[in-house]
Amino acid sequence: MLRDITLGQYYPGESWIHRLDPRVKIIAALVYVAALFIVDNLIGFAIALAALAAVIIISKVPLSFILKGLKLIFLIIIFTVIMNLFMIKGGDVLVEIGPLSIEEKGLYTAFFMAARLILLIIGSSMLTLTTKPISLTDGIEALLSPFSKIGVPAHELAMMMTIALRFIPTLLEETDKIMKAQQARGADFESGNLISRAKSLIPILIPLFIGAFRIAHDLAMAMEARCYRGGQHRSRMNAMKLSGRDAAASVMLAVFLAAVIVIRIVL
Amino acid sequence: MSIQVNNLTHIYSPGLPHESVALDDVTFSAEDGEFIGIIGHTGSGKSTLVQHLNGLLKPTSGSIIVSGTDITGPGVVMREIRKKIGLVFQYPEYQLFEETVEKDVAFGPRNLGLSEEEIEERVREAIGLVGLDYEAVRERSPFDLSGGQKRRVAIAGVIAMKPEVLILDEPTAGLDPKAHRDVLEMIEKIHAHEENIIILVSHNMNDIARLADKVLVMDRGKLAMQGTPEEVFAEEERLEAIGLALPQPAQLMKMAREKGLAFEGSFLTLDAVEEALYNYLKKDQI
Amino acid sequence: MNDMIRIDDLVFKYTRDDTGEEVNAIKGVSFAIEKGSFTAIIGRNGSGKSTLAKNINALLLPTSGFVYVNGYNTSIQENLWDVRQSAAMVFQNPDNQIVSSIVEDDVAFGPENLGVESAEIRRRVDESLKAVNMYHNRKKAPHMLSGGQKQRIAIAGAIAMKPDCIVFDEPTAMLDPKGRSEVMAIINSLNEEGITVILITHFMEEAAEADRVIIMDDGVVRLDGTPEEVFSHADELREMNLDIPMPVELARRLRARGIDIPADIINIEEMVEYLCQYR
Repeated sequence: MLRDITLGQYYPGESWIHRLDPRVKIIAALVYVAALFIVDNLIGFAIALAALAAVIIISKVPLSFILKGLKLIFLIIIFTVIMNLFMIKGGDVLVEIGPLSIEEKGLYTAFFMAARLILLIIGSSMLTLTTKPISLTDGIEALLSPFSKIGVPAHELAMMMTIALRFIPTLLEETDKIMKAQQARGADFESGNLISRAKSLIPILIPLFIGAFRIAHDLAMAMEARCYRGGQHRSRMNAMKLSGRDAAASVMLAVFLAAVIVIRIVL
Repeated sequence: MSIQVNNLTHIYSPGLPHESVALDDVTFSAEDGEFIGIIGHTGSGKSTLVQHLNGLLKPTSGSIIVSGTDITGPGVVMREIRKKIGLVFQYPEYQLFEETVEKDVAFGPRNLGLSEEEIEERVREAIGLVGLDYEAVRERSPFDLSGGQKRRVAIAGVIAMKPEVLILDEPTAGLDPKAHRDVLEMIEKIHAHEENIIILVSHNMNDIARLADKVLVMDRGKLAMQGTPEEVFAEEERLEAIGLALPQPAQLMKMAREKGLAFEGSFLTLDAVEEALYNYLKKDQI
Repeated sequence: MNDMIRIDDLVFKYTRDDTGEEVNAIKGVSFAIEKGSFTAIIGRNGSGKSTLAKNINALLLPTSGFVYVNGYNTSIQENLWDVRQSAAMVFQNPDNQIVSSIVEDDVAFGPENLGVESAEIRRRVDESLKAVNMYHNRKKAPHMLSGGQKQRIAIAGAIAMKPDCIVFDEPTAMLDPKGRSEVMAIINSLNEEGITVILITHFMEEAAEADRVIIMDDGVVRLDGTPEEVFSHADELREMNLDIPMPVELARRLRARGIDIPADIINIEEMVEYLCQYR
């Protein structure tokens, strides 16, 4: 059923990584992504890979679970790698297949490109895998709030994400119901050409939009009744507090970043 | 026209850890012109059952024979099933989408591939049958109508397909008492006019007791009981064990019996109770 | 001052978006609701009962006349948050009033908006969830719960604001019988604990549980009194297309046939008790 779909790919757990403050994890993910673009040699990649492996092991998220969610993205990476292999020229010619050839620089670029993308995707997905969507929202709000003075709507963005997370399952269920109801009235979504198929979506989309507006109207009223008045005056039940764990993680992150920078400069 | 359901079983996510049996060996039949009531808790399998009857879900095993055709069999054309069996979902007004009432009601018949004259004829008839004035509403947007009227339009959309079996899942949910009565009256009128089989899913025992020829009681995917309303509501203990209430008149008489008053027989309607109490009280009072 | 709510000659008009015509939803209504009482407001769709409820919560403001909640005039902007904190509201659709994807976070939403301090919010959330019997589900996602359970979460969200009064706007209309009785049980127990309850409904059986029943029709109050008094006006109720509780209807029919039945029988238990006298 549609309601079984997990969102944000959260893998429930109680590991050390899971329990880190979401702000620390968001910053760590950003630093990691930045580090991947600093790295330009094999040793650097080895360090980045080791760091990621350590995070995966500590988080206890099964590797198969991580990879399963990334199948489609890997296809894109393979495509990019192949393009790079054949398109980028320079250095010795390694292989020649008819009009196509792989040259040294192409191989080199393709390898780094692939390594960087794979680490980047797995690294950032570790954030969503180990952080509940709702904590992620809280973390983003907390990190953006200093910028609210210069007009970044931190609270509003976070509230929008919270509500989206809450209502996506409801809307999926609603879609399922509407589809079935229209099928019962003889609607056919499977056959015909592209245009007639697109047309056949109208009986689903219109009721769905109207339903979404109805939800928005009701919800706005309910939020007002519960004294919602935007981000000011608002307190939080789970005020985020940094613990020793978060300090330790921050130190390790700093060490990692330093190592990556040093290697780039030295080698 | 008849419908025969044999050993219908439906398992959600078979083989997975969250496998669940939604329907377990359900067997029943309905004959021409019968009015069937289905009762049971939310999650008892009522909705899963009616979705099978319409071909929206395929059973894991078992068959559904409608006038000699097994609609669960391979190569069955869905359009043929939908010509025979109409299903009105809960809160059907949430499926309206056309600019005018007329166009919305025509959606079903058009999908059946009928001719324009036939469609217009059916739309006119269906809108009349649900108690709306065809000329007054045909050009109006369905979204400007009142809640009760929207529901009628949505029901008309299914009736216009002229199904031989009309299934209604909680057609009165969320309506006020007046609209509730109106919708039930309308269903009775359609039943009399079309002489079709009606299958009414409802939580309202009073309505079921009053309208149904046969009652099916669903409990945790199984067909727990079936029979006339008198037979089913006589089994007070079993219904209580399932957690279903009696119709209110029957509740009153049950409580009176428990206090030691001698009222024999079944009291499913207010009229029956009124008669019994009148006879009981008049000897003392009149 | 014993009035939780005082309504003085309330008139509410609005303009329909689609046709532009002016609708007179409430045409001069006055009454007061005592602290700690349980009042049911009944009327068919379009009678103005929901509009009235929204005026009590300052979601709508009077076109003319006044609404006082806990002494606060709802028309004065500065009173807005006091009004909404004093008179919380629970709506009809259980799905469309839950904000967060975690039950306990949703219950915390009201107190968070009021700027209550974290430890106190935690305490209130736990207390409120226990009061509606949903503490064990506090970490769940709302969409995995039944309608009745969702409605109980919404009630917990209202309780957590520590209101003096809760306005329930048809809270059971979309629920099955089981969910309906769960929600009614909670409404009754909240009232026993001293919360003023205003229950907007069209189920007469629910109204029979109240201390006072107000019948609205076409924007005015038509009947106002104890359930016994109000249900004795059976003909008027019928004319307004409202239902009558089954025992009341039964007594009315028997009375018409010359049986002497007291007018204060409004539920099954009372009817059975009466019958037992003639054993």
